[in-house]
Amino acid sequence: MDLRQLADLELPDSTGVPRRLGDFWAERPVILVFLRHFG
Amino acid sequence: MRGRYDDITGRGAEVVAIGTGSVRHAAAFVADEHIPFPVLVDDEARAARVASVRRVGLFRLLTDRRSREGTKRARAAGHRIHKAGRRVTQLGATFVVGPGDQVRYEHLDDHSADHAPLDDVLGALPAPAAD
Repeated sequence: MDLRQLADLELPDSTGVPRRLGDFWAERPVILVFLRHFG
Repeated sequence: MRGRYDDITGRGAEVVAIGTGSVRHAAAFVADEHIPFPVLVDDEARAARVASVRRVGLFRLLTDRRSREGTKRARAAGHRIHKAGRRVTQLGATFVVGPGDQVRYEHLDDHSADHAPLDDVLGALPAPAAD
């Protein structure tokens, strides 16, 4: 996995606000879970 | 993951979930399931492609005994699918990343009932700082 490429992606959160992925793990560890579906 | 969330945040870490579907369905999932961590929407599979998340053929998805038994267990436990999104053949995956550019752990699901062992995921987190 290319973590730097992933870090630069922006995805909307559950309120529709775009979030840059790398900002989540810039300063702390993150458990990143890809879900097959919501629920 | 939700049941261990306090333990995870107590160790200075966060959980971020990425799913397929719409913002509306993500919002319903967060509200209905009382999800305490950020949930992001990747309906175009941009993040899933970069992370090399696996896909499975529809025939295998429907006929794989492990997947069928996993679905039965999930239903028996009261879980239900809110919204499958457009990519029903995408499997799940779990990573532990950061701080910075570190990939500490990765588990790419091999079938729809395959999940990263939670103890392995938590074990990949940095040790808590000593007081």
